[in-house]
Amino acid sequence: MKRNQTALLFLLLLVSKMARAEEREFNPRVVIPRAFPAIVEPDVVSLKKADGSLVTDEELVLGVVVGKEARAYPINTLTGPRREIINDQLGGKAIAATW
Amino acid sequence: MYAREVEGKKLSFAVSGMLWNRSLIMVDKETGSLWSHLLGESMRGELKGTLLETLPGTIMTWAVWKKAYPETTVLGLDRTAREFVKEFQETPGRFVLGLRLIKSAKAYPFEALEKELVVNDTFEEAPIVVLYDRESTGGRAFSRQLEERTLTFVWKEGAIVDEETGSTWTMKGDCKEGSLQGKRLKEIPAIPSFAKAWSQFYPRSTVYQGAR
Repeated sequence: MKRNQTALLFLLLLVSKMARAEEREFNPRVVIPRAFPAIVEPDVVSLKKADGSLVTDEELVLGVVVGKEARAYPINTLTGPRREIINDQLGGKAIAATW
Repeated sequence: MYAREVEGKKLSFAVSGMLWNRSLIMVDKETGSLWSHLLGESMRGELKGTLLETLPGTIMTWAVWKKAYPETTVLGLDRTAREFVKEFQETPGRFVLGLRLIKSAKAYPFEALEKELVVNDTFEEAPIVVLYDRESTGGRAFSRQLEERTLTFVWKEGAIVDEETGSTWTMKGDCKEGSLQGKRLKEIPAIPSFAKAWSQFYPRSTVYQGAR
């Protein structure tokens, strides 16, 4: 009986250890000691105004559609730590454009 | 691409200055919680454990996007880089289209998509289709379940066609011709990602191996 209990205890320990090993360890590295300013609801322009100046045909965009509204975020403007996340509003929804 | 409202509260995200597995950690200004950019999950702070809703964001060329969505607006900020052009996504082995459902994750390498253009697959028991467009280098994923019917798509003479009705579909998931005209497939948020980063953040993700 006692032996069975020890075996059970051992098994429980093993299972809990396995479960913990599956948890991801969050160990971020500080590269720059403070956060960059958040970009919130920046200017947007029409297709016509952007076409050929802010973005050209062969450049990549991150495109999103919410409800009836579509917006393109040129990848070449989303690069660098000051630009990697755009807090925006589209089709009545608050979104974070990032890739 | 995420929704930034959590339990009725609108969050504003910023670049925290921290990296985790070489990937961005975001911080929200409202609670100071830290978030993994690729997992869309809060890893530390008041909101730890919260998942953001992923929205379908597609990376493709401007030429194709503006044609598909002539009503589009554009972020009005100037460039900080120049290298992200069509060829960037075509580099073999560099990109995957990542899908994340409730229990698991699956990656579709752009290399395989580029060859096959239309991939009928099953993910967590749900029939899905992954579409790739060579012209725009963009990929999108949709459910193949349309009301009571499960559709199977093929690439036929330069068009996306379903085998069941012969109707023609667009990359946007809209049926433009045939008996299903006017119908729309439900889009599944797909995450275009660097292949290396995806496998690091989703170590148990399966990878689509290509048609046999």
